[in-house]
Amino acid sequence: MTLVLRLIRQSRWDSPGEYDWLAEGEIPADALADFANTTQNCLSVWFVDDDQGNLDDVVAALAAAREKADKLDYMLFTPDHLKAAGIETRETDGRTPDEQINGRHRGLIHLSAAKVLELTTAVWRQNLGPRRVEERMVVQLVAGAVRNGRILLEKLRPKLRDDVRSCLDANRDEPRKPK
Amino acid sequence: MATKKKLPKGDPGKGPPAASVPVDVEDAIVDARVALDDGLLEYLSSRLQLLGDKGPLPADFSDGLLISVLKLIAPDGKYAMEKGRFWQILDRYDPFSPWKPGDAIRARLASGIAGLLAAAENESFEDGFDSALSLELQRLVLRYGDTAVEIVSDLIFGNRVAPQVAAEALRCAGEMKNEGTQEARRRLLERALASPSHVTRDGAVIGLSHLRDPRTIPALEAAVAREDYRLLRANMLDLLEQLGGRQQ
Repeated sequence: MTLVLRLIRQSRWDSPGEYDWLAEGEIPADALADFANTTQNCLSVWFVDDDQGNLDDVVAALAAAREKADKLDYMLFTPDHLKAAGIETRETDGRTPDEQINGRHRGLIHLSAAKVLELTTAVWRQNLGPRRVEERMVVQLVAGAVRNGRILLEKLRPKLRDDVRSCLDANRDEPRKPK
Repeated sequence: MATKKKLPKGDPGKGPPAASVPVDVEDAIVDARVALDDGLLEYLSSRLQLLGDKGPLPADFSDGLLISVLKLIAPDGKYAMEKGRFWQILDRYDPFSPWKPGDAIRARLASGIAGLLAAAENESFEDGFDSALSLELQRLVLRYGDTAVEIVSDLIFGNRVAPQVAAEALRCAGEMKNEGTQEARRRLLERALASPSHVTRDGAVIGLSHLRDPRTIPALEAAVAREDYRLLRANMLDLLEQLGGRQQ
């Protein structure tokens, strides 16, 4: 059993409570933007262990593929939603600097507009929470992956690499005690 | 400590072999500096016999290399890069003294920034990547200092900017590393915490989390007290905790 992770923008999933203008069974349209941005009717997701033991590794890999340190918003949900919407998945290699995590990438394929709406509606109603990893934590996670040898520092883009390098240096200096 | 790098093997008299186009300019700059640390001085001395009695200072070579790279990547250089990124790099190595424009230039600048923000409505912003808007805004803020920040602020609070564009501009305002405009950028971000749009408020929180200035604690505490978006409020509380503010 696995969980499904999709990168989102958290503000699209936020709300002040109930919307009085929504009819029963409807969801706000903003959330749809995170699932409707398909390419060739395909959407990118990542499989995470159901105990979320490799969640930090997946987040680090996704962050390491970026240009700079930034917050990372994601949504976690169960694959039951995919099954219920009749959505097929295909194993396709991800493009992150972490080779091991790249194998956790899946493409949601042959997506119709109806399936996308059904999936978004299901995820809106039942999910493991839209979450945000703030920028500083993102750098620490990537630095951890570099330290463990999962990600090569040289593979990071320069702006992010500078921040990760500073983080590694700071951590290296931390245990030292003044003479 | 920097690792030893292989020095280029050049044909004396012809200079080093033509380098491939730098994949990234920052790489080129960093490589140049690392190479200098690791013995470029000796290399140049032996190849070009530049050393006199005392020899040139390492800083001379360092600056020379830096200027060469900057000429290549300047907006009209051989490997011109996006303007915003260029100015950002330049500022990092040689901080700008912002220019205080007169009324006529300020008016032109305001019109330019308004156009930039309007055009950005068609841009798709992606977390973790610079946008055309953020690069150009950074350039303008570096060049015009507080004046540029004030104009952005006026446009956002005059409700002339789409929320997602305002959010990107705010994130950019927090992310910039430029001490000269820190106060103006902090004021902009704090003011944006009271925006009627939760998307804009989210941009302000992201910007403030980059800024990490404990002086924003009172503004954040006030924002938490009136925030009714659940996730946004939680993000504000997280930031408050990181800054050492009191829990609510």
